[in-house]
Parts: sequence; structure tokens; C-alpha cells
Amino acid sequence: MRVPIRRAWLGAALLPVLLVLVPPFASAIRYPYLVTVINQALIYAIAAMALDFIMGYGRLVSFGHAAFFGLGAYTVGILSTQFQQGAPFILGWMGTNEAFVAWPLAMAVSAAFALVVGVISLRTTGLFFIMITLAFGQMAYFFFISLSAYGGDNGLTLSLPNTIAGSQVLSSGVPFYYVCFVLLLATWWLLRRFVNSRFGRVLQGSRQNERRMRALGFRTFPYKLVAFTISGAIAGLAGALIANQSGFVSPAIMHWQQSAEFLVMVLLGGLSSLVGPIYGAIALVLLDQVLVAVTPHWEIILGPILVLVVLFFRGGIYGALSGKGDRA
Amino acid sequence: MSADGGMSAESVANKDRSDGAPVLQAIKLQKYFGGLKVTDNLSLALRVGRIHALIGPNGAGKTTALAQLSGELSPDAGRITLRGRDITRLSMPRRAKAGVIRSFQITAIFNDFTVLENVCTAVQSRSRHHFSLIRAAARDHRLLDPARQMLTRVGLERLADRRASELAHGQKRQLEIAMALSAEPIVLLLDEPMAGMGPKEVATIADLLDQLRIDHAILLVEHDMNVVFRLADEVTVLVNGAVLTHGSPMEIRGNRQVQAAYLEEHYA
Repeated sequence: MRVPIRRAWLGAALLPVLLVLVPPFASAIRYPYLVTVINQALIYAIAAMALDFIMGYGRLVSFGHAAFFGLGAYTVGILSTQFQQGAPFILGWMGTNEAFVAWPLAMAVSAAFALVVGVISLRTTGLFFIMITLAFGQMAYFFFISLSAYGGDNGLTLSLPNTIAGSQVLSSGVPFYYVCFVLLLATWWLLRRFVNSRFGRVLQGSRQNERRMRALGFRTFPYKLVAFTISGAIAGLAGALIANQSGFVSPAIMHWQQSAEFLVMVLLGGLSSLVGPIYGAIALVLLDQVLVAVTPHWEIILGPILVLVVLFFRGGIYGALSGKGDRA
Repeated sequence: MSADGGMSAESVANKDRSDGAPVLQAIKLQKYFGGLKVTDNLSLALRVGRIHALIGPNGAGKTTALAQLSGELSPDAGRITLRGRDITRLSMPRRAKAGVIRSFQITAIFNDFTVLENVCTAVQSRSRHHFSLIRAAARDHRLLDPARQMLTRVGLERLADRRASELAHGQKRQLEIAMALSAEPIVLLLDEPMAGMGPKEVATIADLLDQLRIDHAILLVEHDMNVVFRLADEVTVLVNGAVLTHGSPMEIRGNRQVQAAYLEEHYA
């Protein structure tokens, strides 16, 4: 409230404008690879924002979000593979390459797994919650490593990206970029509504003082479970997008390192802000691109940066830009 | 889950007042922490229209008794009934829904919320629309209007938009009470509500409790004997988890055992 409106506005509203301008800018400087890089960041941002929703507002530190991300990617990959082979898959269904079918299915599969993981892990808190989500994440990872029918360790190649109502529009970079951009905005809008709703109040109240919530008559478990499941579904959507972008799905995207990267994106960008993870994802992807040219061990540089952010800029990049850093 | 079967809290309270039967009753509660007996055969009854003070020296088991009444701890033996219905095994959230609301000795508010948001959350606990995901709670007048009224009632209206963590200690205690009341309790279990308040705030809250007595059954755990003797209709004295004596404030004041066990400790 003490934050000047203009500065807070700058942190949130400038970003979409800049993101819209990325493809024309890239084409102006004749560097189309920039679109690919930022596109990847937008996809990670969707998953990281889903993580911020439960971590920043419900203090549910999930160390297994790569599993939901990966499940979304594998859903798209497996459906597409079946479709290409033309072999009956489940109940005689041939699979699909249609985004309007595959992406909601990816979200549903991830949501279902998140529901199961949530039912078990949400009975614990703090460190135990982190460990259980990590364990489930690694279980999913090893499951797909041993799933030789779909490539096992080597993963799956998508010969074609998903179609939208039969059209191949996603096979070129710029339309796909804008599809991801719109989905990111939609995720942001939706999660913002959730956070500010009555549901969000219960979630945030439980984060601050669970005992108080129970004393007021709230059974907090169902709220946390719904939030966790929503978060898993959105991470699944991000997974469906990454499968399309890279044209490839492998167990590596379910590894705990990927989960850790989502956590880093949230902390670097700004916890409890929803917008922050977009900055976090862009920063991490760009740092990766820039620093990897300097040294293959670029994490050596990232580590200290992260320590400094956590020590001195609790609000992360978004907090520093918008002046809301003290609120986190 | 609704315990009052659709009746408003007010009409229930009217009924409770007219028949004078205990609303909340604890019958021979026992609780051990390991080998230590912290609640020893405790029985007490709360009636609408009466403030029942629970007093006793430090470590007498007052807060433990209150935790069992609110459902946070479950007794090892004994029963708790709400209007004759056994609620001994009912969890804290379900008991709260049924109208048994507690406040905390150590202030339990939502520090990151504003004062108004704190009270709105408590108001929300009475409604059935928590899973509303899209509508903005900050513009929801079914939450805001009752919350603002409550803030006026406890004297915090000017601080509505302040973050709860920024309040002074006494103001946090007032907020704590506002939240308990906003949950529309029939039974109020107050754990030292005035601890740490200044004299002016104590007077405000004492007046408020005096009014609340009309349609609530109140258990008041309190150290301030002036408050107890001013407000209480009956007093139970707890020593080492067991009831030492029970009676009117006049009787308790004159009781030598009580003076020996408790009052002298304070006023010696």
C-alpha cells in the first residue's frame, strides 16, 4: 500500500508488453533463436507459477513438480506416438495429435497424479512434505526410465507438433510462441482470481496459522488438496507445451533437478507474487544461455546469485522491480 | 454438518436461555501427559447468560482443560456434550462449526492479512461458500459488512486496513476476540483474553463480554481477579488439574482454601 502505484504497475504490466514484442524484435535483429529461448522460458514460467500458487500462498513446498510437468509431456508424446503408428491404444482408441484433446488430457493425467500425491503428502508438513513430494517425483522418473515401450531412458520423439483443429499452425515458432504467451496470461489471470477468492483466503490463512483456521471451523486439508491438484494440472499443461516445443520427451524432464529449477525460478523471480516466476524463468533460461558460453559449470555462478537474492531481495526480481520486496 | 439444523444462532440462544440447561457440559474429564495427571476428574457446565470463570495458579491445567473443550486435545476419559449431544470425539473444526469457538492465550491472528481481512476470514467460516474460487473476497459484502460491524464493536474500526502484524499487543488481543465473535459462537472459550491489555482496552473488552453474556455461554480463563470478580457469574477453581471448589464470586472470595492455594500467591 505504501508502494507507489506506478512502480507496482511497472513490475506487472510492462512485462506482457515486452513479451509481445519479442518475436518482432527477434526478426528485426535477425535472431529468431531468441523466440525459441524466450518461448521455453514462458513454458517454464507456467509451471513455476503453478508452483508459486501452492508454495507462495499455501507454504506447500513441492519438490516433485517435475513429475506433473513430465506427465503432461508424456501424455502428449504417447498420444502422438500412438496416433502416428495408427495402432489401437486404449479401448481401441488410436491416440491423437489434436491439441484440443491432448492438452486437456495432459492436464487431467497430471491432476489425477497430483491428487494421489496430495492425498498422501498433505498429511505431512514442512520437511516431510518436501521429502514425500521428492520421493513421488523420483518414482515417476524411474517409472518412465523403465517404460521401454515408449523409449525408456531414450525418450520419445514427436514427429509433428500437435495440430489445432487440424491445422499445423504450431509447427512454426512464432504462432506457437503466442499460443504459449496467451496460456501464460490465462494461467496468471486464473491463479490471481483463485488467490484473491474466498478459497484463496483459506489457503493463505492456513499458511499463516493453521491452528487458528481449525479453531475457526475450517478443515484445511480439502483446500490444500484442491490447490495442489490445480497446481499439478497447470504444470501438466506446461509439460504438454514443452513436448511440442522440443519435439521430444524424455525422463530427464521429470528428474528432481527439474523440480529444483522450478523452485529456483519461484525464489529468484519472487515468491507469493505469481508474476515473479515469469521473471525467474526468463532470468534462469537467459543465464543458462549466457553463462554456458562462459563455462559449462554455470551453476557455480548461479549459486551465489541465488544466495544473494534470498538474503537481500526476499521479493526476488519482481519484488525489486515493483517495490513489493518487503511484503514477502 | 450443521449442528443447529438451520436455526439461526440467535434463535438457538433464545431457546438455550429459556430452559437454563447447560449448553456445554464436561463430565469427569481426565487427561494425562505421560505419567502426569493434568486434568483430574474435571466437570463443569456452561449456560447461556452466564460467564463461568476458570481460575487457578499457573500450571493448574486451565489451558489444557480449554483445549479439551475446544477439541484440540481429546480427553483420556470423560465426556463432553453440546446441548446433550456427545461431542467428545468431534475434531476442533467440527466443534467450531457446531458453535464452540475458542480464543488463544498466545495471540493467534493472521499476520500477513489486514485487520479487516482477518475478521473477514472469521466471518467466512460461518458461510458455506468457501470453495468459491473466482469471486474476489475483497469486494464481497457478505464478508465485509459483518466484519466492519464487528471491528466497530471491539473498537478497531480505525485500524481496518492496517496489517495485523503492525498492531500493538493490546490491539491484537482485541482482534483475536473480534475473530472469535465473528465465527458466531454459541459457546465462547476465552483463554486470558485481556492478558497484556492496557486498562482502557480491558474496560472495552469487559463491557463487551458483559453484553455477550446475554446470548452466549462463556468460559473465561483469566488471571486478573478484578475482571473475574466483576464479570463472572460462577467460578471454578482448578488446582493441579482438579476442581478445588466451585461457587459464586462471593463464595470464592471468602473461601480460605482458595486464598491459600491461589489468591495469596498473587497478593501476598
